[in-house]
Amino acid sequence: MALDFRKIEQFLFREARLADENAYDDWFALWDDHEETVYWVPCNHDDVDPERELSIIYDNISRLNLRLKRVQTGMAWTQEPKSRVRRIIGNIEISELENELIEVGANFQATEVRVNVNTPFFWHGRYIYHLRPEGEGFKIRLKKVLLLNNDQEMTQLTFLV
Amino acid sequence: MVANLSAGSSSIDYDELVKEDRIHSRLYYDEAIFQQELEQVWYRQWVFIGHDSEVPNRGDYRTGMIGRQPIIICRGDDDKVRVFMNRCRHRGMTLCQLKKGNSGGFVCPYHGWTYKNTGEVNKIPLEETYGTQLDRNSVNLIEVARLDSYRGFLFASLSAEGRPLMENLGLAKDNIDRFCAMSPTGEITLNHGVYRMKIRANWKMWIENSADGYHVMSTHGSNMYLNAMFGDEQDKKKGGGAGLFNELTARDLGNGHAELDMRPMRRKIGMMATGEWDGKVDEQAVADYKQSMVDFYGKEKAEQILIDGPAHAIVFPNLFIILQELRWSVPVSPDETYIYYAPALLKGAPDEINTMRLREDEGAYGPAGFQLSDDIEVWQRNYSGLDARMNEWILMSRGMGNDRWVDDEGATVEGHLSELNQRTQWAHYKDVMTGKYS
Ligand code: FES
Ligand SMILES: [Fe+2]
Repeated sequence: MALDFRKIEQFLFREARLADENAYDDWFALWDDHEETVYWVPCNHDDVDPERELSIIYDNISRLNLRLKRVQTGMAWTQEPKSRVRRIIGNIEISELENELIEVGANFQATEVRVNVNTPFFWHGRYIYHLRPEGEGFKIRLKKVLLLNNDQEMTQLTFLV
Repeated sequence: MVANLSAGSSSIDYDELVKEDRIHSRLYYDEAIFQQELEQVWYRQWVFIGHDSEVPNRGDYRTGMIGRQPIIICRGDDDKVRVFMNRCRHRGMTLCQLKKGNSGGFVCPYHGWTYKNTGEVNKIPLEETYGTQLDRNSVNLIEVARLDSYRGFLFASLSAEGRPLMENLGLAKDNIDRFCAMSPTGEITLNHGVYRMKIRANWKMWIENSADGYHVMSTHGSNMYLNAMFGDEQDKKKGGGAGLFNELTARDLGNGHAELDMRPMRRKIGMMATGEWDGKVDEQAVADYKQSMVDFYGKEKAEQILIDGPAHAIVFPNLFIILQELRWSVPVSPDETYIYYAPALLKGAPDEINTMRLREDEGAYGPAGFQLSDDIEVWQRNYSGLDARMNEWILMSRGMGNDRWVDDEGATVEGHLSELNQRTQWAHYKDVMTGKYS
């Protein structure tokens, strides 16, 4: 498989924009409906063993679906009104995995503005994706978010990081 | 003439600020009151600092805070757990920078003094040049004045005086027992990660909310909705308006401790406290877990434990025992509090059960949790609301005048999502702040 860097990069940018803009349905459609799909934000350190250690987020596809439904109930107060977010992605690195998947690493910086707080929140870290090529595009099998501050006292994290 | 209660007035009269049915907002935002709280509450009372399973092996340590003061919890080479002030005896540098680790001792980088993990000073560079000016027995690490534990729960006090831990715990001891009883060995472990969060709110708002049944329908409305729409049969029984939440009782455990008792609700539902993740239950693991409970406790007691479920109680001033977690708080300033939520795993339970406990924690709690994120939002808006100061009273009268009874264990109980728990916390707070309780 020849890796098309431009295509992968464009996919990442699109994923980021949909997350930034709280476009829940379109964003969810990027995910692979697969039993191994995981949306993962480790806690305390990057190398968490999910069988024995806590994560900030460890969603399978069903819980990810609930997560998105919840913020649309109108009663998820942290996201009422919604955070305004923009993020920058860079330092993209791509490699092939054995099982037809593509691993993509990328650094990110996200700025989050909440309606009732006049200083923005800054989030930084690295994304690790496992993408499954499908047709002209990709499906996300894994998105792992390595937050720089995952061992520090932090505020709520309820936008789509 | 009405007494001037607001911040800026030099007198702090706790009898005027804390009434039985209402309290004054100044208690949350006044810097002078916060300083008095550090002295009266945080540096005098028994404060929860951790669990001994966080330092299972010799040399294991974890840093933490009592109020604003940094500590090191450390298991020495002699297998004894001690709690040191995190400060070099020479010129006061922070000794240990890491959150946790394992070491034979501690090295101060400033001038190179070293200490054993039992607290004794070890090497003092150029010690001979002190001549007779230094008695090395006088410069060991400083330990907290009192350290005691119950079932591995570690409590410390910076005051040498005061009532013993068990007397202070009183009826709350039973909640610790019920929390640990979920384990088929009676033991829990707490070294599986911790959520570290900072909230822009006063530490007392956190304990008020933690024992509050009234907020669930509204604050957690999104989850009630999800349960009703997508939950399993048990969820549906709980969900839908007030539903069975109205069955919860508020229990005044004395000494400021308060329980939101889930047992009346759980006994009606017949809910068994077993894990699941998004409706998927590992039947084999659940069966194995139940069998291991029966093996340890006997059939009847095991069933009662599983129906009653884990405890849900606040131990004043900073421990919250809830479901599968232990939580504790550290005050930073009037408007900031650190909170720590750690999942407790059940020693001896099937791995799958413990993994499900982690998944349950992640779903509900932590910075991205479906419940806690909204709790945090509510606390923060609660604190911000106090900026409006035309009438500064906070109402806590809900349930007063309703039925109240004393149960078999001696706790005062009120139903219908009463604010008894908040009232008892504040009454105790007043006793502590005025020196009536120490
Ligand atoms: S301050 Fe620690 S060795 Fe001097
Ligand atoms: Fe809550």
